[in-house]
Amino acid sequence: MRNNDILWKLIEDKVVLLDMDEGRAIILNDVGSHIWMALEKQKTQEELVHEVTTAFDIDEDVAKKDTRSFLDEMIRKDLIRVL
Amino acid sequence: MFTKNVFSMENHNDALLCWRKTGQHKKILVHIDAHFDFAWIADKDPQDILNAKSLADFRRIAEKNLFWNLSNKTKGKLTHIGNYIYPAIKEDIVKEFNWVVPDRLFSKRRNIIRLKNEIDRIITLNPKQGSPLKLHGNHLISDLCGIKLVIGTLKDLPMLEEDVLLDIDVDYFIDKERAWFYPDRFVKILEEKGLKSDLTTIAYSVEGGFTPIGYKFIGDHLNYLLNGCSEQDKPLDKVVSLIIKAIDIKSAKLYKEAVHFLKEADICYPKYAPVCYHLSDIYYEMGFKKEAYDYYHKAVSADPSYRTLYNNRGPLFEDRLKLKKADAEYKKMLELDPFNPNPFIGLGNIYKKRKKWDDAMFNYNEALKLDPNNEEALQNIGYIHMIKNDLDKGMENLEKTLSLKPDNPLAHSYLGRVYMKKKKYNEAMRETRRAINSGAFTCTQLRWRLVFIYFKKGLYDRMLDELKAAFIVSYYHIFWRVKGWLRY
Repeated sequence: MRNNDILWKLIEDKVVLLDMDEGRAIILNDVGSHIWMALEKQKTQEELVHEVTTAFDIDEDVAKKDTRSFLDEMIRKDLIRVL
Repeated sequence: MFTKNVFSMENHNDALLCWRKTGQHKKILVHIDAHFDFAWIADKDPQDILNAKSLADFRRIAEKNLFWNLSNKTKGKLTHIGNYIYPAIKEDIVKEFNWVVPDRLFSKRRNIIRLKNEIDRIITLNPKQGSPLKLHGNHLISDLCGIKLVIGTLKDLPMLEEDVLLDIDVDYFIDKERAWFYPDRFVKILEEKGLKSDLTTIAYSVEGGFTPIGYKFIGDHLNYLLNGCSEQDKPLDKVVSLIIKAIDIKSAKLYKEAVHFLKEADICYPKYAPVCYHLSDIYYEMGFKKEAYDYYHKAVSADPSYRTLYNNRGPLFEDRLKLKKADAEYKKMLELDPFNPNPFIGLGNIYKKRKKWDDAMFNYNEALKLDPNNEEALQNIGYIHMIKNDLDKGMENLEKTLSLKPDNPLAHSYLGRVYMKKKKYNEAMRETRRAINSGAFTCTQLRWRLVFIYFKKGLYDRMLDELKAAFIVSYYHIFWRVKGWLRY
């Protein structure tokens, strides 16, 4: 799920994040923006992979790899939290 | 009288409230103070960045993140005694800033250069809004947020035609814990210069230890001289001269004579807190503790502001690491005022510095008995639990501290250490960042802690950024420390 302390907004179809503790602004790419929006509700990794595969019409292995690396990065930065 | 509307206050930033309330606009500020009281405020609301209409806009605004307000404080709460002149300039209250410094800061070329370097360090943090000072004759001059900044001594204050905002800090009159200058001479010089003031603000600045409480009467006397005296206050001139005589003679250890002057002052102007305070002080030194106790309580009942952490020299000695002397001061205060939590906190701090954790804990708990919501006691109890690896109790006390004062940088920093010990790096990162954002941004220890956390989490890009910050902050610490050693 999203870290609720993070301020964010959708601008020109891209999610922009403000990490207040860090004083950093982050613009997510298309896949990242899609996953962030999908995380409005709690989702499993498999559900997210499925959504990415459908939305971007890509191979499931590629979607799995992209989703995993995106989630790893976001979790390490404490922008997304694992329940 | 050349002044109208004189207001006295303890905290100097209340001057800004006075200026706002009275609708001041585009005035020349004459700031008479031992301190600059100007600093940039990181007041840009990050939420404004989200109002960007396009990604290009967002990138442009987000780039200038130096002045984001990352603390939990609202914009109004970012102002304090060290920066209230910045909003006054931004709000067009002030159109020219004259800082009158104590003579010693301009007495030698070396001192002028030291002052210039110190102020340049502040100004040039925001190079688009301020340029380095230049020496012109007897003044240091610069542009600051589009207005003129002039720094000089009282004798070199230029003749000003229009009504000014006169802003005085009593600490201007103090040098090495003694008064170097008194209000009667000061007011005469202002009169000779033909200065006219619409609004005069006088800050005592006892809290924080800038003005020793024994000289708080200087603020009263300034108010009396600048405001025009009421019938009731007429004896103040004589009383002030008697207090000054008593202070001078006390330093030669002529206690009986000092008491004589003060008793005379007490008759002229009964129940005046400064007279009672000095009588208490001298009686204590003479060993007459009952009289000292009685006069201390007379002072406090006449003016409750005399019951403060700063009504003794303990905090000053503590800062200078003269712990034995600080200990004696706090114990003296406990004899005079056993129900005051402040000396217990002071004693707790001394034991904490000596790493005598049980004694420190005892004193903090005594303070808590007198004041159950004392943040400093709670915060330090939390720290000691953390040091003793009682992490849950440490967390409990630190979280209570933060519920009372959410922007307490030390409590955030200690809580960060608790999480480090628990190996909860996300929480440790958050608390450490909050400590930095709440004001501890030059704390080297916190910067290096973040480097470690980022390394542990594999956030190498952030680790490199933080490493740069840690080196810069450490370099400045070492630089100023070495400069300090060379000075002596």
